[in-house]
Amino acid sequence: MRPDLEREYVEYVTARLPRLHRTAYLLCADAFQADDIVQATLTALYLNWSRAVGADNLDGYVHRILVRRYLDERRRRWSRVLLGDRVPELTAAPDDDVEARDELVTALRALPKGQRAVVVLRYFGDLSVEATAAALGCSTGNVKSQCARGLAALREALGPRHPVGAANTTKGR
Amino acid sequence: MDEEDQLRDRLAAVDVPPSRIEVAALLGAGRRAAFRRRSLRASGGVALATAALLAVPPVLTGGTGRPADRSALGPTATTPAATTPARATPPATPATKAGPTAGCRPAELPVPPGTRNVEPAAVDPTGRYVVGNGTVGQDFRPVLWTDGKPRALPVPGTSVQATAVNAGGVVVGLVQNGRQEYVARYADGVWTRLRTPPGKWHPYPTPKINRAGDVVINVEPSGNSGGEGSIALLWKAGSTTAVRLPLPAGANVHAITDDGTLVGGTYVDGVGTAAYAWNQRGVGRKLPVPAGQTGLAYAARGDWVTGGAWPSESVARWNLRTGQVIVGPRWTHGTGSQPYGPGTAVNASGWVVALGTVLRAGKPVELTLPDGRTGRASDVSDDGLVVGSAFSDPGSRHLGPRVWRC
Repeated sequence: MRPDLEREYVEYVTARLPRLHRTAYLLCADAFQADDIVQATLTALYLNWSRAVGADNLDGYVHRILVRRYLDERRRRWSRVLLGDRVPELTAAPDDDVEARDELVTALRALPKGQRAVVVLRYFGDLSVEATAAALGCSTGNVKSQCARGLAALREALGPRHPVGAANTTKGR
Repeated sequence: MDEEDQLRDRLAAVDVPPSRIEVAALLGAGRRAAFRRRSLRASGGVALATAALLAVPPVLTGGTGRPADRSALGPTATTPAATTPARATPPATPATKAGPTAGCRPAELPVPPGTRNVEPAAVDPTGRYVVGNGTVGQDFRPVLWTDGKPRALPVPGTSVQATAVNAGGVVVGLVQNGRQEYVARYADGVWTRLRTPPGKWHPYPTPKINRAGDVVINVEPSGNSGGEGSIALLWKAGSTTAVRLPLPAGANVHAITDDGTLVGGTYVDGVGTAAYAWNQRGVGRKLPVPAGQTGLAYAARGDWVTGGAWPSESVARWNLRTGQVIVGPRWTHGTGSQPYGPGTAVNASGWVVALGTVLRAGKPVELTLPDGRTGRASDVSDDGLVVGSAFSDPGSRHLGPRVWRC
């Protein structure tokens, strides 16, 4: 890549990395997998940077890759083995403690994968209904209905009767 | 505050564990990927490759100050390589039918009407049967090709994923139905659930089957991840009752050969520590890799086992009969070189599929496609039939299933 293009890439990635990582974590609720998804996404972005940087909606484009990667990771269970093995120097982090702190993450995990992606992209990624539909490859009507269902399912976790952390016992650990 | 805003606030406030990704490392990964792509193009799909044929007798590994290796090799280790000095030329492997630069002839695999995004997963050793999966939303829909003719298999669940097929056309896969997740065998037109021991188990990564019809997989207690508390299971041909394999704690099985040899690795806290081959009594031999590396085995066929070595991310091949160990090759281009990544499939001649690339005699074979398309392999049969998919390049858009006759 040309040095000036590469600099633009570094600037973009530096600015977006924390948010992309958070998005990936909300999708998969696993710290390692989130890193893998983000790395795969941004490597793919590097390869197509010269074209991608000219896109009308670069963030939308990146989210689209991110969601695809997330869905791919979920599909290919063996990837967990492969990806885990790639970093033998890292020991597994005690993710469970982190997850247990937030009832919302637990509730998100219980959503169907597509619904979860819709909720995360709409309400964390701040993507429009249209951009969410484009990222997920579905209709805007589908996004709206999934949003409504997702919100309904999360209502309990959001409700005032269930403050953060109060539902840890439901995890059965 | 309305519900939507409340959700926005809460999502932004979730306590997310720290990322280990650094921009510098990302840049490195991007450059490597770009380099590898350039290498592929510059060489017309056949890159220059070098392989290190490693001699790994106990005398050598013992000499590196890793006595653990020596004891693990023990009396079951094969030693013919002891007299073979390390050399830096590609090793010869049998059954190279065509020259190293000959491309493989592609053909489209037809898909059943109404199926989408169908990707082949595996081919049986004879090349007659191929299994793959289409998708509907997040769910799999299994497909079986017999002599190139596709058939959509029944879907007794929300998602059914075909993962392997043997020379008798018996398919194994994973069925998900609501919260249930189990291994199933497809034969004579029906899927049969293969039962696990009492308790709730999560099977992973995917079941494998040998010629006789023996099926292996690992299961961990539902709710665990990373293999915590896992056990390895075997269903003998035709049986639906699992036998727990007497492997060491933390061992995972990833393949079973026709003579019943189990191939896989040992894991500690979800991290791989060594590649192993075991007999069904659980007597194992460590499959060695060079000092400083960690090996893991993912696939086996005949005498050959493939997998990877870390941290070099190299493809690894072991010959169970001769004891030969080959780590590499790497892409070389100019003054640099890059690893292919771990091997995930192997045939009886030792051809390996490493993250979509087929390596024959240590050299990548060209999966011929028209310009603007690139082929990625999933599996290869003993007679050189490669199954995989075509992707747009650039863009990596899936263009459909393909086979290549090599």
